[in-house]
Amino acid sequence: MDVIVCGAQVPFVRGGAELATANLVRALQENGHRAELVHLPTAWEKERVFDAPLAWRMLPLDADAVIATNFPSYYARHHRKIVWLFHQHRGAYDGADAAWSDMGLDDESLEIQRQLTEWDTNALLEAQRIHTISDVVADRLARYNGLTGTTLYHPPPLSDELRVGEYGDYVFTPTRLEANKRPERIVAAMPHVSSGIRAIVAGRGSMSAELHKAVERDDLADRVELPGFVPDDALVDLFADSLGVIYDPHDEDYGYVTLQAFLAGKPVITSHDAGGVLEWVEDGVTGIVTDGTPQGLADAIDRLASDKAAAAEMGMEGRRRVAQLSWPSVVEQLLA
Amino acid sequence: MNRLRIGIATRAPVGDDLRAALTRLAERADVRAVVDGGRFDTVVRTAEAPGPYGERTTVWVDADTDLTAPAVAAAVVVLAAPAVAREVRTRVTAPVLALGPQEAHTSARPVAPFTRSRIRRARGLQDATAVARHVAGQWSWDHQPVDESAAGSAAALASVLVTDDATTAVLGAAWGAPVVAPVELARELDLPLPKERASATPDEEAERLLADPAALARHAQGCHALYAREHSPDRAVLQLEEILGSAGRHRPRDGFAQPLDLLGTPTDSAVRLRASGVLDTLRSPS
Repeated sequence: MDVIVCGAQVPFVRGGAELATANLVRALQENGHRAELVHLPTAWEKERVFDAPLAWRMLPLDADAVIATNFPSYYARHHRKIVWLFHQHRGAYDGADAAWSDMGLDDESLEIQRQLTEWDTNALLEAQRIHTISDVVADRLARYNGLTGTTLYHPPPLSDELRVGEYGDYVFTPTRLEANKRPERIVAAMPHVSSGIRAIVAGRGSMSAELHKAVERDDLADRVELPGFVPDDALVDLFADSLGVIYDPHDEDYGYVTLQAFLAGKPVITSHDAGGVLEWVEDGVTGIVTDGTPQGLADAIDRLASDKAAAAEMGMEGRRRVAQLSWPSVVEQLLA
Repeated sequence: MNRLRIGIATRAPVGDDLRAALTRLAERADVRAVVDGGRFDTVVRTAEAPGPYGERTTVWVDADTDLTAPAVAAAVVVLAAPAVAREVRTRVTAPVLALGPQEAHTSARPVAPFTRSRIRRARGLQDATAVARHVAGQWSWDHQPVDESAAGSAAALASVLVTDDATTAVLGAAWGAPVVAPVELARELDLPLPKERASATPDEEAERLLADPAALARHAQGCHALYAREHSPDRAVLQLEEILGSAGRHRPRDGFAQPLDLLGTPTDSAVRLRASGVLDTLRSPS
């Protein structure tokens, strides 16, 4: 079967969605299909928000099936359109009142939000089926558009490489250093940790300078490492030998870090408002769900440090729960 | 803009429903009698008067039409008043479009429940919930009586619209309101009737929906889908255009207009200007 995977991308930005579409194309090819990725640039600001949807609308997509993923790729028209929804334009929906959204309460913003909801609903209703990457995304689709999506989980990147190592003396966080990932919480928690455990927060982003400044200001150089970008082989090693993983984003769509931690047999420390992360982290079973305060996170780190056997048990339970995720299964369900 | 060219070859006397449907078509397409001659994208006939071989016929059916008539089987499109369209949709092979005497709410735009909440907040109204009721001929907003002139705002901004009036229910559906009506009226109009409704009164059902944002959004979406399917002449003509276009004869309107129309884009939307501006950059100077 000839399958076109549709993905939208802000040029020069690569994140989870780009990894997932690339992996989906590879999985389709490995399952005997001819598959191509069609990428178009997109813009998120409200002045240009309808341009890319309209461009997708006009594309000639000659294939047996089209799998659309993120906003606004699902505006593609095809007689066999399957949507596997990564996310919509969150700034117009659940993030409309967030500081980072440009959708205010002015008339223009409200009309753009109204029209986008109508467009989204119409475009998504054309699909033969709507799958979502997580229950969180399905729940937003239900609350905002009144549409039903079926959750279809997939394995994270590096799933074949991640391995279980020792339960060492650091907690690990690989993440983009952006506000919605809340890396500053980890730095803020470390002065409250009494067990001598260190934190390694790897990744790049606009908060890098701010985090370095906080580490210096609070004299945490021996407690917090900010190594920046880490290549994949080093990432696997850091996962493998960590005591556990802290992943505490705000209302995450899915959260590869959680699944990667579990594949490395590590428990995950998170917070009650982390979104898709909570579909996997069960408090006291596969990790620890905190209130997100510095003291709460610190207590969770100390709890892992005080009972490494229990930490390992939680991590291995997580590993069992993600063991069934596979790309062939994703392909089979998308093209069923 | 290429408007549809529709020929009329219906036999007199024409009933009220068909007359209304033809009026709706005439407001949105180039309509003329077949006997006047010309080329047509489709010709509207009744089932008793089949068209010549090769004609793309749109057949009007009413409650008494014999659906086994050859003209119905050969039709490219079946046209009917909303209640009849609902009945025949599963009994004929051609696509069935609803068009009839219903009031057209051409300025209505669907406003989802969460956007309603934000608009209410922007207007300084209570943003959590606001229940509009039009029952026994009296309008109210959160139990405060309001004038009939508030109907449009109520349909556009209420968290939920409770009514026992068919016209108001259709108005609410046009604005994408979650409309709750007595069961008999809901069945008559084909409004969403979730299984949870059971024997609940309209007010009880409204309370249930207000407590469940996903159910509220689903209900609102179902109400607007009903309006688009059965009560929107604009949508019916767009669908007719699409059906005839996909049959390969009718040339759809140029450029961005059709995809924008099919997505429900208002005529004053900024994206139309932006798309038009892009096309302008490609046009040769005159």
